[in-house]
Amino acid sequence: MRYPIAFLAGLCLASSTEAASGAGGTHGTADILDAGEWEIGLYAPLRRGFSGGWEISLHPLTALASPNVAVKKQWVDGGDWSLTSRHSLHFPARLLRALAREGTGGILVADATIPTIAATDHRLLASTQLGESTMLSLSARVLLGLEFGDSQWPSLDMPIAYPRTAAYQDTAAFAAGIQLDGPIWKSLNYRWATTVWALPFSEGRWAAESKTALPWRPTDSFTAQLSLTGTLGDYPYGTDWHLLPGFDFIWSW
Amino acid sequence: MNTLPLRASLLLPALLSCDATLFRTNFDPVEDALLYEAKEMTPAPTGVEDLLVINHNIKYGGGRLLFFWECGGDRYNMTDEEVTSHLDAIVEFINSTEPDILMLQEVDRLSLRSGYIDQVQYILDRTSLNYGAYASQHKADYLPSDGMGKLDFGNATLSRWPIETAERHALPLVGSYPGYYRYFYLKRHILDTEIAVPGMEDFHVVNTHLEAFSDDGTKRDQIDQFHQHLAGLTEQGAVWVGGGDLNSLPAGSETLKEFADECTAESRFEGDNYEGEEDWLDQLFTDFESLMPLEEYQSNNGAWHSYTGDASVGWTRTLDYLFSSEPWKIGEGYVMQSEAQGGYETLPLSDHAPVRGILEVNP
Repeated sequence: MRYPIAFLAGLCLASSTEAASGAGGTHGTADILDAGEWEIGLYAPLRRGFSGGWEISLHPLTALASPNVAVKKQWVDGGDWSLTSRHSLHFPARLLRALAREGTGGILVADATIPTIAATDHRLLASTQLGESTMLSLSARVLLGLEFGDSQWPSLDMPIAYPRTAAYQDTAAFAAGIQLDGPIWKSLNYRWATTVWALPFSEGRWAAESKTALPWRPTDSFTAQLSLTGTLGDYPYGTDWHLLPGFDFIWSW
Repeated sequence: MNTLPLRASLLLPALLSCDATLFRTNFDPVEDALLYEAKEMTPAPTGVEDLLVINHNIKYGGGRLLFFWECGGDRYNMTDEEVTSHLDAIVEFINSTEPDILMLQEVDRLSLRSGYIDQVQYILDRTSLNYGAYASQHKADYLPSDGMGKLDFGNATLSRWPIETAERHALPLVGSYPGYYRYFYLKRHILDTEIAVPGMEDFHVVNTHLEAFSDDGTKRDQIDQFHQHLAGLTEQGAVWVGGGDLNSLPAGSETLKEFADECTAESRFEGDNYEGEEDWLDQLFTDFESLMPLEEYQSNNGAWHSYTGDASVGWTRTLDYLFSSEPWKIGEGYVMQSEAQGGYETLPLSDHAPVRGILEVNP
């Protein structure tokens, strides 16, 4: 363990990427960025809004090792509900191979055989206003994975990562979520999101995550967010829970 | 807007925030050990005259596989079949020797490398031992090094009779390692169990596995603390058995370095060298009843060897010990090295040989 900061950073980064990606104002909702608007976070992905109700995003931090892109399209806007779908494609094999090594930062065993993996993530998001200031969002999600070639590597049996990577080896994972967004006081807001995972083809069959976040938006172009995510899940070794603090900073222009 | 410096400076609190909740590697100075029971109880003797005590470091059910950190080793995670076949061999050994008290070191419990098999429960469910106590020596929800992943291994004490109390007493950590390294590194301890053996009052079994690598005297401190713990039990009038893998040689060892099993290939670790440690165990031999009489050892080191890193050269040094507050039954104490010495071929079971002795109950 000669480079502990590096491996700690890598692990925290990996584990908090998804958790912190909810820092953007539209994450988890059926809203999308306005045309021409850009947004990037410390952990949250780079996003840009396009005319016609489109948004494209990618994680620049992992783009080279794990090429990824996501497209979000708003289908219904106005009326009581808005409806959006989000579709992403990524290729995580190169990143996983880089993490399969001896010594510090060896997230996977060095003798792991990791094939080419193509993974997709499809979400349907619906949002509506509750009263004057609270937004309710519901989501359904399907993750699909395909391996090409010999495969011999252990699953990532850790919170956040396990349900999101299970489909790489086990073909599919499903999730449903509920999210509330609203103001607390002045520029301080809240976000509460709970997601339940079903992993019917994996050894650990389910997971539940509940995240409470406090986004603070002192200006239109900056958001700071603290969050706490509680996880409870079934892993190959049994049921386990974790509490994961997180934070993110988002800049938009 | 250049956000790079801000991003870099914010990594530190990110690490700190992850530290306490993601890895969970730490222990209190004294805490309760985990207690186990066999799925089905085997009636234990009620009239006890002798106690057969065995100590064995079982190398987390790895048998003689060579792991990545060993000389010439290339193995990481075992298959479930490998783990159960190795554990079955250990179970067979236990069932053939039928110990009353079994002290184990390097027992895996819910570790990725051994297929998340709870080895304490596995052994209890297949032997006449009914009760167990376990304390972790190395535990992490996720060890991000060498692909270790989830890890929990430590010491276990198994008994035919109920374990009334079981405490984990933390031993000093290696002071020369930086704090972040210590956070993830092994946490040595003493596992003290009080066992309700019929006819014995206040009977304790004290199980430990001491530091293998330390240049700063930590191993010496751990030996001293082990000695103090045993002396404390004697002071309170307890009857006790204490021992384990002390990772130290007795006085009068003919070889202190360049052992026959030393790695000649490229290796992660330097060869063991016990020079300067020759008298570290002396106080244990002076103050307590050692299963291994020092004079016998000094006249024939080889008969008491209990470890080898290379099965092809046989046992090469003495690392495993049993002490007691009471005298051991003469002629019944030895290292079970082979069919010829101990009546069982133990080389395939682990890199350590079992040490056995008989304690007379109310002699």
